Amino acid sequence: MKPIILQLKKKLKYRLDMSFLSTQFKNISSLQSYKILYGNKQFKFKDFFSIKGNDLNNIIIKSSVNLMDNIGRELRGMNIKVYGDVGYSFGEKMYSGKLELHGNTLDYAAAGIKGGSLFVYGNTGEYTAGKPNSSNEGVVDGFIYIKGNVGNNSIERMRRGNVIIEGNLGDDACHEMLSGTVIIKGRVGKSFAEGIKRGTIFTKDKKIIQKYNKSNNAEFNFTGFMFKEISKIISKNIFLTNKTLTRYCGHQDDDNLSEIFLYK
Amino acid sequence: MIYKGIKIDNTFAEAFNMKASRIIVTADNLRWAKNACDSFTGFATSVIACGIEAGIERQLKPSETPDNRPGYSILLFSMSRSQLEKQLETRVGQCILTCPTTAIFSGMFNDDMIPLGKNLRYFGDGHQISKKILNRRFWRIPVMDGEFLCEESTGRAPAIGGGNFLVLSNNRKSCLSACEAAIDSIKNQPNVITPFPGGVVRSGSKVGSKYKALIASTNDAFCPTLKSVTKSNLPSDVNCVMEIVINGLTFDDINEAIKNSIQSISKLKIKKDIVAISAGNYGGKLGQYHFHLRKVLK
Repeated sequence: MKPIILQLKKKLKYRLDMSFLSTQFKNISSLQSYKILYGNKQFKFKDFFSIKGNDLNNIIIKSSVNLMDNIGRELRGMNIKVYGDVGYSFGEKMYSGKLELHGNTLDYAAAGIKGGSLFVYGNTGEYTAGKPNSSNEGVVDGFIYIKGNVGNNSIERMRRGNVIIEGNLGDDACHEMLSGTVIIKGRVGKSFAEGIKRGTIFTKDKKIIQKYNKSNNAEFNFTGFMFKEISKIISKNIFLTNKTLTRYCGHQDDDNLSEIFLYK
Repeated sequence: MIYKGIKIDNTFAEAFNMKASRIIVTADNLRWAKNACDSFTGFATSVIACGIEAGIERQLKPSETPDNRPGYSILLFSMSRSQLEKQLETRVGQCILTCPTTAIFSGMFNDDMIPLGKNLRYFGDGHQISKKILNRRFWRIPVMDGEFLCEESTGRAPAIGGGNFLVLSNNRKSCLSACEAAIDSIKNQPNVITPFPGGVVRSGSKVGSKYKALIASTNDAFCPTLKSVTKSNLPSDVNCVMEIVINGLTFDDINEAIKNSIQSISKLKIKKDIVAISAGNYGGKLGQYHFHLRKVLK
């Protein structure tokens, strides 16, 4: 079985909803003849894309552009790899499977994901890993890795899962976080983690720890293990490997049970 | 049948269906990982009175463990799921959680999972923290040396318990040496354990007793001191018998372990003192698996 390779045939003028790609098609012909809306007209899928390969669970999109929205939305158990930029809601509410993007996204990438793993080797827009428009719940579970920078209002109301950001994180991030783990390599924007309840954050930004008490220099077995697991998932050593960590917890606000690991 | 100078009796070992689980225990160094494992697998020789049968499967290098620290993998065997769950939780709580620097991970993944740290987390008294990485959930429980990390659940799989063979010798020293060589030959074999002390059992049992309260009693047919008073299965020149009991995940694992063990005995100089290799069974009526010694060695 060879993965299906989709190549865009013509230059897009209007936005294209690609959420149907998450559907389990019975065979190639049903994918080819799938009807999609473009502008105010209906077209067949094959009118837009050339299709090669036969493995419907592994899809590669080449020459993607940022007018293609909802790629991997509500994805279940499939693998989709995308080369090029994508539009809004990349991987929004995905349940399982793997999404990989070699490009940048617009807003709402990985919003409200419930499982699976999502990799973006570029920058993401606002509301990344945050609440989707349709619900009040952020990331419920899953693994998110972003190589580049992340926009404002991201990681809002995160409940579980892991977010790793190698670039900078925008303003108003991690608001009302309920739990989960966020690892940030770059700078953190203004108004970070307001209203956070629980969760673990790894950062080098000292402005975050002002309202926390220093915990101790105890050794935490889970960090070594976690970095090893994450390194396996992202296929390279995570930047935190062999870094000295200092833990801060006990926020001035009693409801805040979160912890910050500061690294140098 | 004579195998490399050792007589192999025409008999078979009888083994039973069991349920098994595997856990991985790590610590800052091997000393403390071993302390935890020894404590965990202590009093886990037979399901007759211990609830489970458990043993160290093998030592793990740091590169083989989930947290890059040295450790051991342990296999546990039980007749029932409830007993396995109960014993696992109790033993992890009393023997691993209490041991400095340790962490515990699942060593088996399948659809049938049983709790590992799921209930132990309450020891954290509300300060426990959950971490989930893909589909695996872990608990960080604050303890006095830092944190105890334990995986929420571990897998359970069908397995076989009670594979065995008997070493019949004309003196105790040679019998023990033969058993030691046999145990050494399989100590790093994956998927099998020898749950008795040092891997060897000297009190082989039969089903039932003249005392109604007992479900098992001494295997008089193989006791050299009872040769003159009971119906003995021992040749006249046998003065010492020791048994090696092997539990494994599959029939082939036990088969290979028995084969390797007997082969290692056959390489010893003291093999001239070994009168025969035999096996324990209940007439083939109780156990689902039969290991015919002569077939095993072919």
